[in-house]
Amino acid sequence: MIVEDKEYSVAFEQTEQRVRFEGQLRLRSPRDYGPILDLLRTAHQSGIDTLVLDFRNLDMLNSSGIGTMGAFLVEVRKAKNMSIKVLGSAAKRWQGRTLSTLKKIWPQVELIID
Amino acid sequence: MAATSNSFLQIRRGDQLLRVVPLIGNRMVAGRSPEVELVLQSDTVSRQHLELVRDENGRWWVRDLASRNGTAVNGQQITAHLLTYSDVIQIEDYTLVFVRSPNDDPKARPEPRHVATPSIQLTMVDSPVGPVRSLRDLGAPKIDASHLSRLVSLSAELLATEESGDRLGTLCSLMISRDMRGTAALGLRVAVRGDDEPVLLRPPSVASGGVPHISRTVLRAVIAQGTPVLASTAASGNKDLLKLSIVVQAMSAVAVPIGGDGDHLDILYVTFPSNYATAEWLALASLAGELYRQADAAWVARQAAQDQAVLEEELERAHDIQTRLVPDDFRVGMLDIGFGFEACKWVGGDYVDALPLHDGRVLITVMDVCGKGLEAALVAAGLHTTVHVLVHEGLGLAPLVASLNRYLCETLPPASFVTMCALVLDPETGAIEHVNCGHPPPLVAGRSGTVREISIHEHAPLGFVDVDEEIIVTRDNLPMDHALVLYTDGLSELVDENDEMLCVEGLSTLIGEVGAASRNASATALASSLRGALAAYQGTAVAADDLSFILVLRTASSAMRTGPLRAASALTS
Repeated sequence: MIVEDKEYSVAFEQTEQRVRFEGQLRLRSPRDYGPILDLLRTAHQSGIDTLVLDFRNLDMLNSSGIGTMGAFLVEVRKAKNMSIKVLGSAAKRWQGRTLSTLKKIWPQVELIID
Repeated sequence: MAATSNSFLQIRRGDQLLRVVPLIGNRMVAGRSPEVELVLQSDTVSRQHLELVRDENGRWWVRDLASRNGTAVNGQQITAHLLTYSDVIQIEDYTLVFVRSPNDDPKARPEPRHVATPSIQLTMVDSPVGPVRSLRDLGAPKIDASHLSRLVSLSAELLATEESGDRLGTLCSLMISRDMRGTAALGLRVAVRGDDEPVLLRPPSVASGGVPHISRTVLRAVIAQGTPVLASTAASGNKDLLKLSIVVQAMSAVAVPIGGDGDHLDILYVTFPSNYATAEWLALASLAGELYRQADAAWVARQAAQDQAVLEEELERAHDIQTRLVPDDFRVGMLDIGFGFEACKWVGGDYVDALPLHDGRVLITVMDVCGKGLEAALVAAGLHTTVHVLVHEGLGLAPLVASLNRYLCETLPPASFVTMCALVLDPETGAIEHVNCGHPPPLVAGRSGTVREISIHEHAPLGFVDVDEEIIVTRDNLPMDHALVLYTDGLSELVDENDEMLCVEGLSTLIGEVGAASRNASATALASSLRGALAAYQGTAVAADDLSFILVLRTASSAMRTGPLRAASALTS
């Protein structure tokens, strides 16, 4: 399953238990992130026990995008049936601070930035 | 009868008709001043002579605006008068005639030709007609100059007629006029697919022979081709057709698309005597239909422009209100505080505030509502109220943040959140107590150009997690002659013309340069310099986010407090 546009691509790779983010995500409002949230929910409902959110090739995630990720984490946290691992790149300086926000929302998130 | 809409003023001077003006909006002023809507150039006309006002029932009134020479309606001096059609307003040698249509002439209004009632039932016929032809099938039309002139007049009339039903009436009336010779003209809305019966858009205009039967064959042809078509029941002398013509009336019919949406087509259906089945009449009807479409588009565009203007006016007001929520730059004790606030749209989701407290300290708050525009601005406005109420309740910093979080968890839409940096600063000692919820850490800049982030404990942004986690307050210090800068990520994520992002490091450098280059400057001057440096970095690139910051300068020069008294509160330590 994939959601993509000119600037970005978000793909759920079930065999890898991974959602891969690429490009620049700067959609206008949380509503505009609806298809991506749907993709994340599909991943959540696919029965896997751990989901990797791979941001290493993502060049930008705006506040509405962080909100969408946060909302998804809150859902997963409440469902208590899946763990989350977040991968970031130290080469993309914004990721350190932005992705650590996700860990603040759910401290059990495993955050790996390298 | 009092007019309710679609009203015009014919403006005459002496015997000369100067212009016809549609009455639009709720108020129009007439007078000598070039500023008014209806300018009447005469020394005897007052600058603002009279006003035309539409009341809540849609009726137009004329009121004299204490003019020097007065206003008369139908020969009587008035101060105010409810207008009815054909009323004549006299202002010196100007005559303003209040009419329903721009072509109304009260002195020589022709008797209307027969107009059927709206309850009329259409008779649809499936009988065959002669060949259905379009302009492509016919020779080059030879159109008389007088007909072209009439079409030019039609265009002007349609562009001066606001109500779409009246425009269709004007079109149909033209088609059955002496110039155009139609026997009947009507507007139909037909379904592009399916068998739904056509709907009359307005009562038919009929010159002779009653309401015509409507040929389904012609309607199907115009739907299929999407262009004007012509057919005649007596086109070829065919006996069968002639026989049929008794049933369906011997006639030619023209059908012209004049609008519609994806599911429906609006059609001008005109019947002519049977010997008018020529390229000329099809071309004339086609041109008339095209003028109608163009006028319709012009009115739609005008309405959209008016709607946009109203929206922009409201947004302008919203912008004013939001800007007023940002305090003016002020000093309190040893603190000199300047603000930067610029929404990337009319309004934004940033919130900056500084509240002097009863104990002499100052609460400084910067928040960034996820998203942009009106939705974010409404949340930001609610935050302003909530913060002020909570401060006045005397909550300490940590309980205040916890209360805000609960409020936002209850009120924010899904996937929305607010980042916040709130700190209490002591002007005398420079002591900082700080709570950070997903917000960029404030920067402390020395006059030498050094810049550092203050120490923080980062909580999740507000509005995400509805649990009372412990709010951790961190402490830091603002030394004398140092500036503290709180900002939203619109600054650090500002991009230049090459789409290069400023980032926190770039922003730190800018702040350091501004501080070093402006020794002894006030917070207002430093804030202005920072705005200038950001604008220089941005160049011609368009800001994608709101740009907000608070710059707090701690100076040795002890100043008298000039801050807003209204903000005093009892925030506890």
